[in-house]
Amino acid sequence: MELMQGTLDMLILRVLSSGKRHGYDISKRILILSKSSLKVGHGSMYPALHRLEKKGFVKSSLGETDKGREAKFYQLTRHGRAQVEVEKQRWKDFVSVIDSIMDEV
Amino acid sequence: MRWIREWGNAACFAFGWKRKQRELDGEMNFHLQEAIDDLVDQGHSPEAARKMALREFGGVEKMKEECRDSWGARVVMDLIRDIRYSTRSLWRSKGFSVAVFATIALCIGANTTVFSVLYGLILKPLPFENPDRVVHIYNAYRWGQKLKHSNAGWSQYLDFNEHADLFEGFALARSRAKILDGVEVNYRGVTSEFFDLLGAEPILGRFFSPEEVYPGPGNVVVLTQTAWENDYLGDPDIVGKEITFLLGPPHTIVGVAPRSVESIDTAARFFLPLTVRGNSLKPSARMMPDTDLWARLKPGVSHTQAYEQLALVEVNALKAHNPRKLTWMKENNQSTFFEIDRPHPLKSSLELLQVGTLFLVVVGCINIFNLLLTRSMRRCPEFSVRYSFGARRFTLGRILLCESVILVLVGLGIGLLLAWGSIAAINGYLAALFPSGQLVEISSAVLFWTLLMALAVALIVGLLPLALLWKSGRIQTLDTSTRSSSVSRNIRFFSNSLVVSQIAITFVLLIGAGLLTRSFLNVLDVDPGFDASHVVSGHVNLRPVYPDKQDWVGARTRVLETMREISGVENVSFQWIALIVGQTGFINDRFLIQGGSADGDPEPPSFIKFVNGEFFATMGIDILEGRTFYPGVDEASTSCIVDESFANRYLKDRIVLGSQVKRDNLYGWQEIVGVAARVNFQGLENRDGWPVLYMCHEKVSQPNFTLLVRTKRSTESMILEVQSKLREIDSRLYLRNATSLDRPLDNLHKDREGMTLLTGVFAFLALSLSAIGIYGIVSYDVEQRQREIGIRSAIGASQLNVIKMIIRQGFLKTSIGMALGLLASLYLTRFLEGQLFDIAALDLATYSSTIGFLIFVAMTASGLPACRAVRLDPLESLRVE
Repeated sequence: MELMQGTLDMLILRVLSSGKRHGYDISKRILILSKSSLKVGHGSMYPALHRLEKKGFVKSSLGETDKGREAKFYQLTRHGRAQVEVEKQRWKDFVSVIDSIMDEV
Repeated sequence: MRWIREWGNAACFAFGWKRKQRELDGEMNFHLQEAIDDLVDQGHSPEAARKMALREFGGVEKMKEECRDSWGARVVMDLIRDIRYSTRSLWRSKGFSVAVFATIALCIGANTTVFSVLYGLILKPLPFENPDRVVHIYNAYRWGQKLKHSNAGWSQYLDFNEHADLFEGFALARSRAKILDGVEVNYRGVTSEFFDLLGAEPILGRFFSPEEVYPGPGNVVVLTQTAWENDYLGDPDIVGKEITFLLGPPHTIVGVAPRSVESIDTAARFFLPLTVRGNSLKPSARMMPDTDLWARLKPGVSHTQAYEQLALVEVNALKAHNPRKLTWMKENNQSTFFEIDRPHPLKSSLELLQVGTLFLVVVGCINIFNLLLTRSMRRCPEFSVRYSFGARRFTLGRILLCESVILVLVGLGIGLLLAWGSIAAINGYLAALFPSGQLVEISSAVLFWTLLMALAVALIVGLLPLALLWKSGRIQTLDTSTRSSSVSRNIRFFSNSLVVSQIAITFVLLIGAGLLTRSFLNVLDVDPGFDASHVVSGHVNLRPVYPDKQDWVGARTRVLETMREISGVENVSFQWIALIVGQTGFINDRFLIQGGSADGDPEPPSFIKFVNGEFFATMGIDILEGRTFYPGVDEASTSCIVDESFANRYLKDRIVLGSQVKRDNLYGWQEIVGVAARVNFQGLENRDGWPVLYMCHEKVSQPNFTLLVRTKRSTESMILEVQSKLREIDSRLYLRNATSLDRPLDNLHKDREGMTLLTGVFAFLALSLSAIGIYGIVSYDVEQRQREIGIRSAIGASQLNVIKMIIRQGFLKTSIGMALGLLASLYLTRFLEGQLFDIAALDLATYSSTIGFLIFVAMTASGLPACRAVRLDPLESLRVE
C-alpha cells in the first residue's frame, strides 16, 4: 500500500512518541507497526525528519547505538508531543468525515 | 573568480551548513550500513545486500537535496552560483561592462548631485514647527524692468505687529560682526519674538525679553548650540557667565539656542538683542540695511491674503508719515510692495538642470537597453541550448536580472562617488556666493530614492531584451538566423533618433562650453590695472577710541606711521571707507568740466575714490602723467587725479594736467594734477565701466578708513602683525574684514567660473553618453549584419572595406545629429551673448574644433565594433547559420 500524501510526518511523530530513536530505527518501526503493508522509501524519511526538526517538533542529538556505531537520534520536543495529539485528532476527524461520505454513497 | 567561491564557502560556514552537510552524510551512511547489516543477517551476500539497501532507500542525492531545501540553503546557493556566473561573463566582455558602468555612473552621479543641491537649497523645509507658515518678507520695488528687493525696517515691524492680524507675529533679524578675543565673529541681532516665531525652545536658560531689545540696552547674549559646544565645550553652567567683546560693556549669557535656528544663518555664532537708534526709529524710515523680517502666518492664511494685508498696512502708514513717497510711487507706476518668501536665486536654473538630468537618465536607459539587447542577441545560441536542456523563462530571466543588478549596483557605487566629489566642489562655490547659506549634502532620502530608481531600471532593462527575444521566438526554436530576431522597427527607429538627438544636444553643449571656457580665459587675461597679490586691506574705526573729530587725522597718520615700522612693509596708504574691489557699493557722482566734456555730456559721471598720495604706489597703479598727491601740498578742495579713461573720454585732445573739474560747491573747482593708469576696480569684466576720479583725502577728517599695506611677505602673517601693531596703539583698535586683496578679486569670477565648469561637466556627460550611444547602435547593427559581413569577407572584401562600411553607418547618424546641433547652436548661442567676453557667438575656431572633435569621437565609438567585426573569421560567422 502506498503511503498517503502528508501522512509520513504524522507517522514519524507517532513512532517517536514512544522514545528516542535513530532514522533507521524509525523506518523499521513503521514497517513493523504497519505489519509490512506500508511501502515507504526509507530515504524519504530524512527530508521529513529535517522538516520536523526545523518546525521544532523534534530535536536531534548524536549518540551511540547498541552496536557501538555513532548515529543521530531524534526525540520529540514538548511542542512535538502536543502535536502528536493534534495530528491524531485531525486524522480521526478526517477519517470520520471521509467515512460518512463514503457510507452515504 | 576564486573570491566568489571563497565567499560562498564563507557564507555556507556562517550558516552552519558545512557541519550539517557532514552530519547528513554520516546519517545516511549509518542508515545504509544498518540496512546492509540486517540484510546480511537475513542471509544475503554483502554485494546483493548493498544493492537492495540502496534500492529500498531511494535516490541518496535526491534525498540530500531535499534535506538541504528544508534548511533554506537552496536559494542562497543558487544566488551565489548566479552571481559567480554573471560576474564571470561580465568580466569576459569588458568593453560592454565598462560602457554600462560609465553610463549608469554618469546618470546617477549627475542626478544625485543636482537633486541634492535642489533639495538642500530649495525643497528642504526649514527645521521648524509648521515650517510652511514661517515666511520671510521682503520689500520689493520695480527698477526699470527688474524687480528689486530690499530689507525691512523697524517702523514696518512695529506697524505690522500692531495692524496685521493674519499673522501670529513678526521678528527682525540682522547679520553683524563683533570682535571677540581678537577674532571677528558673526552674530545675529534679533527682536524678542524671533525664537518664539520659529518655535524654538532654549536648550539652556532663556531667550530675550522685549525690554532688552527696546528700549534696551540689554547687555545679554544667547549662544548658538554650535558655539556652545565648540567654544565653551558644552559647559552646563554657562548661563550667567559673561562675554566681553572688544568694545562695549560685558554681556551676560542668558541662554543657548537649539541647532535648528542656525539653518537661518549658518555663519552666526550667537544672538544679541537687535539695536535700533537714530533715524531708524522714525516712522517715515521704512527700511533698514541688511535687516530681515520674519513672520509666522496664522493657520490657513494664504500668501496672497497675507500680501494684501501687508500692502494695506504699508499704504496707511505711508499716508500718515510719508505721503510724498506714495505720490512718487503712483507717478512711477509702482505698486508692488512686498514679496513673501523670495525664491532662491538659483531656483529656476536648478529646476531646469533637474529636468535636464532626468532626460540624461532616459537617454542613459536607452543606451543601456541597446547594449544589453546586442549582448542578449549574441548570447541567443547559449540561451537556446539552455532552454532545450530545460531552463525555463524564469531561470533565463534570473540570470539576466542578476547581471543587470550587478551592473547597476557597481555603476551606482561609482555614480555616488562622483556625486560626492561634485557636491564637495559645489559647496566650495556656494560658500563663496552665499556665505551664510546652507551647504548641501547627500541626504538619506535622496540615497534611498536613487537606489530604488536604479533597481527599477535594472529590472526593466534587464528583462526587456529577454522578453523581446522570447516574443520573436528565437530562443524556443534554436533558430539562429538573424532575420527573425530583429526587434520591432519602431523600437529601432526610436533608439536611432535618440542617438541622433543625443549628438545634437552634445554639439550644442560643446559649443556652449567651448565659448564659455574661452571667455573665461579671456577674462583672466584682462589686466586688472593694479597688483593685488601682496596687498592687505581692512577697515579701521577710530571713533570708539578717539571720540573727538579733531583727533582723527592725527590718529590716522599715527596708524599709518606705525605700520611702516613692520619689517617687510613696502607701502602704507588708506582710502576712505568703501570697497576696494567688488561689483557694488561704489560712490559715483557727476562732474562739471571746465570747457565742457569732450563727449558732449554737460555733467559726465565718474566713480570717486578718496585716497592719499601713497595709494597709487601701494596698489601698484602707474601714474602716467603729472604726479601723485603730496602731503601738506594737496587738499580735497584744490587737487584731484583722474584715470586714463577719464582723460580719454572727457578731455580728449586737450591738455589734461591743469584742467579744472568741479563736483559741487562744497569743493569748488579742482585742478587735475595727475593721470593714473586705468584700473578695473569693479572686476575684470567691467573694464569699459565709468572712469575714475581720485579725490585727495590727506587732510580730510573721517573716523573710518580702509588701511592698505603692500608687503614682500606673506599676507597671512602680515594681517596678524598689523592687528598686533593696532593693539599696541590702543587695545580697542581692530582691523575688520582683513583680507588679502586678491581674494575679493578672485570671488568676482566665481559665478563665471562655476557656470563654465557646469556647462563643461554637462558637455562631458552628453559627450560620453552619445559616444556610448553610437557604440551601442553600431554594435547592434554589426551583430545584425554578421552574416553579410561574413559573406563579404568570404568573397574578397578587404578588412578596410568592411570597417569603412560600418563606420559610414555611424557617421551618417553623427552627421545628421551635428547638422541639427549646428542649427540649434546658431539659434541658441545668442542667449549666451551676455556671458561671452571678447569672443563672437559664432566663433569659427570653436565651431570647427567642435565639429572635428565630435567626428573623432563618433569614429572611435563606431570603429570599436567595426574592428571586432573584421576580426571575426568569415567561416565562423557563416557557420552560425
